[in-house]
Amino acid sequence: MASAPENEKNASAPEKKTLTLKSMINNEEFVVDEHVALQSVTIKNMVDSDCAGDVIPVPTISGEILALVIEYCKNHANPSASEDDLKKADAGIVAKDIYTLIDLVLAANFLDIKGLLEVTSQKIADSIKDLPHQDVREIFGVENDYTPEEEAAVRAEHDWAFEGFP
Amino acid sequence: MENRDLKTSSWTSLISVCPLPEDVILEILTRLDVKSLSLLKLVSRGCNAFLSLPSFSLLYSQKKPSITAFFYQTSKDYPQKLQYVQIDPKDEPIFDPPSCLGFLDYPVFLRNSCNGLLHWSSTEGTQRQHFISNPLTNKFVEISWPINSNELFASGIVFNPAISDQFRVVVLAVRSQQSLKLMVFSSKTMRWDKVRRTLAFDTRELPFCPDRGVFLNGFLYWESNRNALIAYNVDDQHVHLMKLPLMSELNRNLGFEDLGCLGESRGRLHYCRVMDTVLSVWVANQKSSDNSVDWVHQYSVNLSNAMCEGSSIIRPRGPNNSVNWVHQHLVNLSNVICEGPSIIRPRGARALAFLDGCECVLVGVEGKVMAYLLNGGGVREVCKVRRNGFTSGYLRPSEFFPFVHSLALSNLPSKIIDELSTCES
Repeated sequence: MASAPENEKNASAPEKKTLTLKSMINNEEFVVDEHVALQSVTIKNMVDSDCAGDVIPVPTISGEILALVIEYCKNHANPSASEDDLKKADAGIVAKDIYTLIDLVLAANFLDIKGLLEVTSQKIADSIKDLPHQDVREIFGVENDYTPEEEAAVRAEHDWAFEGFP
Repeated sequence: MENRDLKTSSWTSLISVCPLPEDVILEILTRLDVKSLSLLKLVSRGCNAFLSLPSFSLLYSQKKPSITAFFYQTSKDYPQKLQYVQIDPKDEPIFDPPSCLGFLDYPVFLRNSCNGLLHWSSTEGTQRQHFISNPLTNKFVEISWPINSNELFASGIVFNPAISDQFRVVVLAVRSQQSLKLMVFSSKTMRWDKVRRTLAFDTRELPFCPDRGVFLNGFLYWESNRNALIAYNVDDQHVHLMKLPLMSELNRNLGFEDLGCLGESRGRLHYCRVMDTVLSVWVANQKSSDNSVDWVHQYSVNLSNAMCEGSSIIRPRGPNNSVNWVHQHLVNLSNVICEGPSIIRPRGARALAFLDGCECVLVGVEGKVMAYLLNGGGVREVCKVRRNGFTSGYLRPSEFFPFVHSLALSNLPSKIIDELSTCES
């Protein structure tokens, strides 16, 4: 790997610099162009403050999710991609089950990638929109702490919203 | 994201039961529609407490555009008949806005709307029943009206859900030729203020639509019959007059059909009016010292060019249910706005409302409502205007009620109507 000179930003090195991201969950490694990885504010801060070694360890994010994140960053680092192309590509990335989406939104939040956070949050919102609240409890691991009477009272209050729900 | 105020005890009760970080939860929740949020209240106590926080309502509203939908009256003979049209395809449609008033056995009429709240009243006459409702949360407040309908000079709702979840109703009545009587209802106290101020104002200057006060930037505005805006300052409780810009070639008196619309972007008041076929937009340079105003001309567009010979329209829905402004050629354009092969000039077109930070204007044209993009010049059809089952006629500003999805009134207990103390006038 070409060693970067001290003055990091002003050096317009013509050769592409790469970074290696390593999932600490299953030790999978991904080599990506630096400008692709820098869409993550978290990684950018590490690189800017010289905290990044050759391999950047990414805790709590699996290789499967990291691959999706990198796919997103690659798409959005491509200057020739049209808005329509990006929309389609984003839709493909978030066409996943709710549990994958939750991992993905956590990854986007941890790596601080605003666009990915937004598009994944929207998809999660769209997915839970039509779910009965029992399913929402299960998905997000929320315990039902209502007494049956309380639950009935809250339900009565929002009676109108329950059309078509069991 | 600024949400420090949300980190309250109710908030911690939610995160203690949900493994997601708070920013992520807010990111997801603020993308849900009002009905889905109501369903989520059943998930747990913490969820309910959190979703009922006023600060959550505020954050939710801050993320919404100023208008996401509108109602219009579909019949002149039966003004209680309304049609709902959503502008933002992501929002949940509502089909029966008065449903939350369904217990009433008499018809109510939509009077005004303000940032997600609707103002209804029963038929003119002796009954003075008025309601403020949010059809999305099915909550409403009954307000006993302080004056007879023939005493009304002007009224309006003061409500901005991105600033406060409380609303006020302002009523101005004629006291003499030179003064008005001010009455203010506050949702905090659920009664009319005891103090009734007298405001100096030349009452020959009449609002065209007395109960259609438009709330923007801390002022209620009514367009008057003398090419001016009647402006009521909510904070200092004063009324003053603001002259409106004139079209240069104007050589007739202004009438009901010349009403324009108001909007706000970056704190500045915008005004749009269609005269004949020319749509113009001005931005107000207001001097607070003497309440004077300079209208700076921003755009003028000839609608017959823009809509019949222009270069772009957009389809109502894209593949992902999103709105796409699509460029199409002349043939399709003439289908959209001009009936048949002969080009009809959109005479009688009316500016109805500003959208998207005043970058876009809704215009009522023959049989349709169109959205006109000011900067790029794109036009799209928002809906057909159906009158008694037929597609015909122009939608006039007085028949048009902008609406935004908000959690307004969601914190009200449903039994509020029983507890309401009536006001004594």
